[in-house]
Amino acid sequence: MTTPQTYKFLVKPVFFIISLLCAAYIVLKLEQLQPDDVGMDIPSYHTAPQNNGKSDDPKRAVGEPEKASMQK
Amino acid sequence: MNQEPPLKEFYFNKFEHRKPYTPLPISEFRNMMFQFLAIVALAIGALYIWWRWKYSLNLNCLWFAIPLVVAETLSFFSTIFLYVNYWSPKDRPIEEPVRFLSEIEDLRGRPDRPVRIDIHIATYNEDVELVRYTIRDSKKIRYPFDDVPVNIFVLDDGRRDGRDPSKQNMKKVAEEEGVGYFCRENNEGFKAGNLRNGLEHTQGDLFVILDADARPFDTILTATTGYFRSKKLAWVQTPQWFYDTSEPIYLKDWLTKKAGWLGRSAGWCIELIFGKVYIEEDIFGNHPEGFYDGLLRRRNFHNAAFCCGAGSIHRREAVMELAIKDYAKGVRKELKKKLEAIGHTSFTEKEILEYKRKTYLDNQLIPFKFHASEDIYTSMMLHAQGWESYEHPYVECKMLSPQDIDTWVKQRSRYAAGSLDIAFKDNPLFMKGLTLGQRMCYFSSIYSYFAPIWLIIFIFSPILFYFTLELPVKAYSFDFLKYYIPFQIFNAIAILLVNWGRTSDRSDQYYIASFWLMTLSIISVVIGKKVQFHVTPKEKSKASYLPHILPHVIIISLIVIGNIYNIFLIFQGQHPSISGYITNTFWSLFTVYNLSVMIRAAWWEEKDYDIKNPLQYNGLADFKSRLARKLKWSSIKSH
Repeated sequence: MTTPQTYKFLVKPVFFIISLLCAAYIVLKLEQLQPDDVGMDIPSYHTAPQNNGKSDDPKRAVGEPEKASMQK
Repeated sequence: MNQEPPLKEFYFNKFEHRKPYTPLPISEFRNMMFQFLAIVALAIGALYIWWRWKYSLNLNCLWFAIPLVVAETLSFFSTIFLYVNYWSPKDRPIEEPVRFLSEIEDLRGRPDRPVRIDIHIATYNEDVELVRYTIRDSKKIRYPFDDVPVNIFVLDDGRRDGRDPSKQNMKKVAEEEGVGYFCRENNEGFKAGNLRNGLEHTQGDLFVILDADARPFDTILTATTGYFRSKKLAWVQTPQWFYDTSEPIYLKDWLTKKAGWLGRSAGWCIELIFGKVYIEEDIFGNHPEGFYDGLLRRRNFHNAAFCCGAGSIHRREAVMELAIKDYAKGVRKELKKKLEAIGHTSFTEKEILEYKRKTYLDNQLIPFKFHASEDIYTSMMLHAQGWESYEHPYVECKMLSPQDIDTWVKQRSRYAAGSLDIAFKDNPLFMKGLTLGQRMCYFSSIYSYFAPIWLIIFIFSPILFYFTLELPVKAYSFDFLKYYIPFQIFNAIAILLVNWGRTSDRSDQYYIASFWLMTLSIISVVIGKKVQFHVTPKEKSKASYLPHILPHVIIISLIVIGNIYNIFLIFQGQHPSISGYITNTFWSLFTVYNLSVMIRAAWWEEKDYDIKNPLQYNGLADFKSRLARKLKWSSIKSH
């Protein structure tokens, strides 16, 4: 009958394989990590603002001056 | 009845009560955690270095960017070597002391007899009354077998046998104490030559090497000779414990003394955040626990624990075998060279025989290599011959540490220059007979002395930024942080697990603060200057400390001026990179913290403080140690 002692020699190799797999996984995850994953805003010089023709202000068309400047 | 002469009073008498540290208990679980974190840290570190080379270099400032990334890469290699060193502990069980020669050697037909043990106390110019302490403690060594002779010999390289009345009389002290005395007429080979002289005159199968100030405990033989039952074991090194390191001062008391109630309040605030803080503890960074119990003990795993001289026990057979092999090799080499030079044909057979005879006589048996780092060099050669070594984890002798910065620098410079000299003459990477683990361990010892190559770049980086306002990286961006911070965290936890409950702050500080002496050592070895063997003085030097700390003072001054200039620019709204300033300021504060230790050590004066609470470690380390014991992560082996 086999005892746990028989397979003790496997502990170290299995441990190293698991460690290597974990290390590879962490490396991959780090590679994919983006600022917004950790709650940081993407700085403007990293991603160019997309101009989709729509303004944040629904009442103001693209190219139309802001209300504040109009009041002046 | 003869009365023993009284012992002279020395400064170290007040430290006699100190007890050595106990070795860290081995924990398989903790070690596996360390190995896991080390693997992850190496993977992230490699990724970081790859990112640094590929994406982060500031192409507009390559003169700054390239040296920094090279420095980071070299430093990463040193981390790899460190992990190899630390990889796993491997303690041997402590065995019963040996009694008969047959227990440690193959007799090959010789009759058996009790083993012979010698104790060699090497001295050169130390106070003879200091050596008397070592002799007295050697005489107290216990051994359970009465038929095993334990002989003590003083090996005096200072020719203090009474011939020169201006010198102290070492021979007289040896005679008063009833121990053997040998001196020689020259100082050839320095300590190694002195030991050879001792071996020529004695017959011990095992011999202990002690320095003039290395006072053995009575257990040194009982605890170590049993290891020699392993017949390939050449030597056992025991930790060198310095029992006269500076006393820690409780910060709150110090602040109170300096600034009254204001200081006390400040101390209270600091204690609230950091717990009890002690300063000036081991100001010269001599506490050897990190090295002996951390690094050298773990080298047992690779069979690469090298001999450090004092406090080691050797097998005569091993060093003599090495000496004979070296002798034969040397004679063969020299004969070949000579005969080639003179040409065989022009000399008669008789003349050639005469040449050979002369060569045999000219060459000498050298058990310990004649070298400034004779201990590490001889260890490397013995390992290459297939011999084994062992770092015994328990302290078995106590020693005196350098008491001033000049002595300290001289001692460390000799270590550095000696190790670097080995790199250029007999590089362990290419030495035949060493295993891969041994090669890496020996090379890592030598590689660590090349640290100034990257340390200087790290130290000067913030200064260059302050005055040029150029960044070596494109930006201290999210990508930089996402690789750098995890690497540092994993690395820090991995090292913390190895040093469980033990602080390495002081040695880390000195690693960086030693950049200047190591730079000078590299230069002296590269230009081919002969490495001198300076005996470490046992009393305070009167030499000027300024040359040793001048570079540190200049660097700290430049950092202060650079900061003032940059703050001025920020207030003017003209600073091009605030994030760069913040990053470099953190880095420069770290540099100032590390460099300042040497300046403080230079002006350190021993104070007559009340030794109310002589602590070995700081509060945080003690807490971690207690936590480790509480969680029972460690299986404590009884001594």
